[in-house]
Formats: sequence, C-alpha cells, structure tokens
Amino acid sequence: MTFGEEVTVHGDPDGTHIQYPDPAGRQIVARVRDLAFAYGGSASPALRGVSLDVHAGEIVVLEGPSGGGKSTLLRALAGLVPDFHGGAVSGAVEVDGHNALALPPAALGGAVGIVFQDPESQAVLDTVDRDVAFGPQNAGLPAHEIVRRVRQALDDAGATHLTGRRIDELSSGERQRVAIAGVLAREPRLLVLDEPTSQLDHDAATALATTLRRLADRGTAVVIAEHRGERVRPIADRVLTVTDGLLAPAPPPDEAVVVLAPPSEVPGTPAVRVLAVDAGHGERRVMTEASMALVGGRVTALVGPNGSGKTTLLRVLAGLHCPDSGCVMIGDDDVSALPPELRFPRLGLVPQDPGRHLLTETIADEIGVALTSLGVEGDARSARILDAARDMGLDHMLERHPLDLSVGERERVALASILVARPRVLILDEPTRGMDPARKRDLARIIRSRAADGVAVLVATHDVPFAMAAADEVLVMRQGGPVPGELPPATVLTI
Amino acid sequence: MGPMGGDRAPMPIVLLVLVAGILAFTSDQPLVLAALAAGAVVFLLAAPGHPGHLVLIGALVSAAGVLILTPLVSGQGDLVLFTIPMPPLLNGEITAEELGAGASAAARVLATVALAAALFAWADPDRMLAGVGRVAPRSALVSAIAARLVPTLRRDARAISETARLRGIVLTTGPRMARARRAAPLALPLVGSALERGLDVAEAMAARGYGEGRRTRLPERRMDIGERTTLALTGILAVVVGWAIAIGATDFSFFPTMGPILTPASIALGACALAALVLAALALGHPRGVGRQSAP
Repeated sequence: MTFGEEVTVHGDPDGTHIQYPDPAGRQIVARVRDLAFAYGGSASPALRGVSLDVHAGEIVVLEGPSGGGKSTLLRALAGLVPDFHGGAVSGAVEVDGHNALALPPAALGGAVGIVFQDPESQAVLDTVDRDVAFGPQNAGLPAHEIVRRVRQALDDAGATHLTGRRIDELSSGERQRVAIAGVLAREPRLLVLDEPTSQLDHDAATALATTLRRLADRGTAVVIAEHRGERVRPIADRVLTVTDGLLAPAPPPDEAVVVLAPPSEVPGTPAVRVLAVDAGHGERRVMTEASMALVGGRVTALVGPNGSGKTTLLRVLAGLHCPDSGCVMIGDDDVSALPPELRFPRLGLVPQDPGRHLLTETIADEIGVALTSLGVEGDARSARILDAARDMGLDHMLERHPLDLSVGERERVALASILVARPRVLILDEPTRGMDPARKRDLARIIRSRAADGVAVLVATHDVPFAMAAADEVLVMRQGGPVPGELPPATVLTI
Repeated sequence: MGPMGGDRAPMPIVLLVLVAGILAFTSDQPLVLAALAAGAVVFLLAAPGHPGHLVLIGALVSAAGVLILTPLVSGQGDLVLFTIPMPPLLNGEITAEELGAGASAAARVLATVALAAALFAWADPDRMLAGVGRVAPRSALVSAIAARLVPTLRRDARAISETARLRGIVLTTGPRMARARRAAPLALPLVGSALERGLDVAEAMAARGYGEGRRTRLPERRMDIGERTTLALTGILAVVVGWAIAIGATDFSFFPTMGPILTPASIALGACALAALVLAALALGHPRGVGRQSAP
C-alpha cells in the first residue's frame, strides 16, 4: 500500500487530521512514509525516503552513526520538522491521527512527547515540579489532574526525590530524569527519546529501561535513538539503523571485544598524584582525604554513580576546582596553587559536554587554539592540526563551523583540540557521550595509542563497554574518594 | 554564584516595591530619600544568593555620577561653597543647594535600582512569569526564554572561559588590559551559544505544547508568615505615604535656599520607609514553613 494513495481521509476538511485503517490489527500510533528532508542550506538531505510504522506498546530502537539522521527522524515524529527548523520536506508523517508535517507541535494535542539529547535545553521553568507541570499546564488540565500527573511522572522517571529542587542545582543525570518526567506528564501516545541514557549511570539507565518497558506495556509507543544499544536493546521490540538518511533493520550487535594494545608491562613513575584532598561545593563535602596516582603508559577508568564526585575530582586535577586541603602533584611539582592555564600543556582535560563551548569559527582554528598558546606556527602548526583532525575523523571538514556539526562531531572537535597539545596527562570526562560505536572504537584506539607513548590517561565514564575496552585499571568513586575496583557487568560488549 | 531569583511569593514584594517606588518618585525630601535608599540597599543585600553586589556597584556609580554632575549643570542656590574652573556651558560655582539636590537625586537613583533588583532577587521568577502570562502571554514567552537563558549563559560563560584556560589562554593573571584583550574574543562564542540556547529553549517549549491553548496553573502554596508580614508592612507604609503626600510632607524646595531637612514629618516618613524595608527583609529572610502547601 502506498501511503497517501489508498487511504480514506477522515476528520478535518483541511486534511490536517487523518485517520488510517489498521491493516495488521494492531493500532498504529505513528506512521511515516517516504519521508525526505533537508535542512535549509544543507547540501545533502538528512532523511531520504524513510518509511516506518510504530505500533501501540512497541519499543523501536534507532541506532546508527552520528549525523546519520536519527535525531531528525525523531524531530519529524514530534512535529518539529519542518515546523520549527524549516527546510525542504516530502512524504508523510502521522502521529495518533494528526498530520505532523502540517501542524505545529502544539496542535498535535500532546500525542507525542520528545526528550532531547541535551537535558539542559529541555527545562523551561526553575524548579523541578513546576517544570514537570509545564506540559500539563499547556494542555489546560485542571489543577488536581496536574498534581496527579506530576507525581506520577516523577515517580515513573525515578525523580520523586528531586521534587522542589531547583533545576540549576541538579547534576546532568538528574536533569535527564526531570526532562523525561516533563514529557511523561503529558501522557503521550508516542514517546520519542534522543540518547536518553547518555548521562545516566548504570543503575539509572537500567531503571529508565524498566520504566520505558512498563510504559510500552501500558500501550505507549516508544522510539529511542541510542548509541549505547546495550542499554536499550534488551527492552526493544525492533532495532533499526539510520545511516545516511536511510532506515534499515539493524545488524545484530558486534559482541567481539576489539583486541587492543597490551598494557604497559613496566609501570612508569606517577605522572600525577592527588594527595589527601578534601573538596566540595559549599557545605556539601564531595571528596574526603582522597588520594590517587596516575602512571604514565596506563589508561585508568573512573566510574561511579551520578553525583559521586567524578567530575569534581577531574576538575581538582585540572586546576578548575580549588580543594579545601591536600595537594596535586604533576611529576614532582606541587601544582595545587597553579591555575589550569599553567598546568597546560602537561595536563589536558576534555570536560563534560565540550561541544557546547567551542571558541572559534572553523574546526581548523579550534584545533589550533592550543598550538597558538604553545607558539607553534607555520607548517608545523598545519601538520599537527591535520594529524589531530585525522585521528578524530575530522580532516574532511576542517573549514566547517563547529555549530554546524552534530553533538558527536563537536565532541570530537573538542577532543582533537586537547590532543593536539600532546599532554602527558590526558583526562576525559564522559568522552563517549553522543558517539557512535565506530567512533568509540576509534577513541579507544587513540587513547591506547597515547598511553603506549607514555601518556597517563584518566577517563571518567558511565560507558562500561568502552571502559572495558580502553582501560587497564578501574577506580571507583566510593565514600568520598577513588578506590581500586571493578567494572559493573555489561550486558553486551559493543566495542 | 547564587541561584537566579528567590522563592518568595511575588505579590507582597511587588506591592512593597511599588509603594516604596512611589515614595521615591514623589518625595524630594533628602532625609526621606536617604532613608529609603538605605532601606532598599538592606532589602537587596538580604536577598537569597547575595545577588546584589554587582547591581549595587552599578547603582552607586550611577548615583555618584548624578551627585557630581548636578552641581555642574545647575546654576542655582544662594550659599556658594566653592568655585572650580570649568569650560563653557558648565557651572563652576558650587552651591550647597545644588549639592543637596544632587544628593537627593543620587539617593533616588540608588533606591530605585536597589528596589528593582531586590524584587527580582526575592521573588519566585516562575510565579512572576505566570503573573505576566495572565496579562501578556507573548511577553511571558519571551520572558521565559530570557529567564531560562540568564543562568544558562552564566554557566556557558564560565565553561567557555574554562575551555580557553585549559588550552593555555591566560585569563586570570597578568595586567588587566592584557587579560581583557585575551578574553574579548570569547564574547563571540558566547553570543553563538546564546543564540543556540535560545533556539533550544524555544524548541523545547514548542515541543511541550506551549501555545496549545488556554493554560491552567499548578496550585501555589499559600503565603507564609514572612510574606504576610511583608504584606502588612506594605499596607502600613502605603497608608503613611498616602498621608505624607496628602499633607505635602514629601514636598521640598532646594532653590533658591534649601528648606528644613529635619522636620517631624520627614523624620517620621523616613523612619517608616526604612523600618518597613528592613523589617520586610528580616521577615522574608526567616525560613519558610508556616502556611506552606505540600508540593505535588
């Protein structure tokens, strides 16, 4: 059946409210036919003839490389493409009987809810419960129903304990839970989520997967775009891949662990040490008498739940967070009093969400900032920029503006911008967020390669398969400091 | 960095600021304006998150400018204090009356800015936006985006600065001008970030049904003892201000000779304004609890 030809159109005379027969006996909540879309000014289409049915109670997982079109497809399902983004569109998208390509999102009547990739951008109001109530308020629900929906949504998202908190004070993982609750509060028939576990720890991701399965069992259709398939494949009814704007069934996960370079047999001297550091945020103590050492030639994974202090430890190491007591040594130098610019280039930190904070107009300039600080000019500069860009798969886009890139591509730019300075201590905070498996493999190889050159590498991550593939040893944030530990079990190794 | 806005019910604070503002603009009495400015500064500095310091510096600079410029552009007053050489069009003969008028205008500037800043520092921004939304929904949309953007951009500004420092750009040491020169290019990514964040927030609002139709409200908690006390203080101040305006106690003449500053009416009015603002700061600063409705 060709969509749009053999259907009976009911409802609004202007054709904006369309109902379709249900040939398979299951209720179809979302139907996409021959959808093609190109963003304004883009040379190539983001989607090319995508067709998809999503049934009530079904969970569809979308995988595929960064920039392949997953987020665009989710936005089309949510009515944001082309209404909000503009661009050239053809084909059809219907959600719960509404023509999502013709109507603005607000006119879809809450049939669809979308959780964006960056939870920071999803909050509209200042406190958790008010923000979660924003959607039901827009729907004009009575006050008692708003209260019920907010309670239920917070419970479903595992965020009841955040009630009354200010959004500004939440960690990334907590914000992600609130963003999910804010969408659940509309009780949408179709729930679409873009990388929903990217900032969640293992337990929180498992809890979210359980919640999504429960919602689907109640009849909600769920579409999830996720690079970390091992977290959502167990609950999926179908797994598809979006590559170069085309939709296809996903191949089974690659369970083979990439054989990486063996760890250094001869441990070097400590490249960086943290000695009895106390640190916190105001009254809240995060680290107490914390000590650790990173050795050149080894990759150390730092794991721990959201809010356990991983980022604080990394910021203390880099000089961005002043400890209350204790000291930080790079080699034999006490650098506790030095700001980050004076720890550069011996120590390089790629912070969380670095793609948001790029400094220049082109990728080449961005990678070159560190070289300017080092006084590297001319051919040597160009060669190093090209090398760093090639390592991260960016060499074909050196003149593009960073804001034109996908989230995963931006993060690679930020990584290249630090790696180009060749720090002897390399610290990465959640570096695989928004990265597809192929890029993760590349990153693991790059990290191992730097370690083989004698660099001490510390990676704070929730990504267990990545840590298993990349790290020689594991530190777990526990009781206010890093202690040697083991990784939690991974469901499927996709690296 | 403190949070953006307090968690207090906006109505008592809006009314208090309104009454105090009316007094600031209707009174020329130097004593009343000085008391009002002092009270407004206390009210601002007592707000949660201590957000008033930068605003206060700006207000003090503006007030100092008014104080200095008023005698230079005015040519009135009987009591000449001193004469300074001045280019044409400016007045170098400084009188006590001109200084008095300048001081009053400076106090008015300080009081007005501090009161406005205190309103945003104490009042719950979400509830203020909800109030704006009732009378001007489109303005509320713009305000909501702006309100969300301010704290986000503060974080972005800090993150951009940290990104630069992690790549060896020295922003915290060295001569001030050199640091400013190195920091100036960072304004561009911040503007880019602001535009992108604005689009993101607008997209999130659209996706969450903003503009769908008539909005309803989450029930808000009842006013607690501190907010009710502020409301009572506002009522008393409103009565006193009304009485003072009615009997002409807010009038004051600077020229040609300055009138009496210390009069019973001006002392009473100034004391009342100062007391209302200081007591309101104490009442609102008291931990909430009485009259609080459980959150959903």
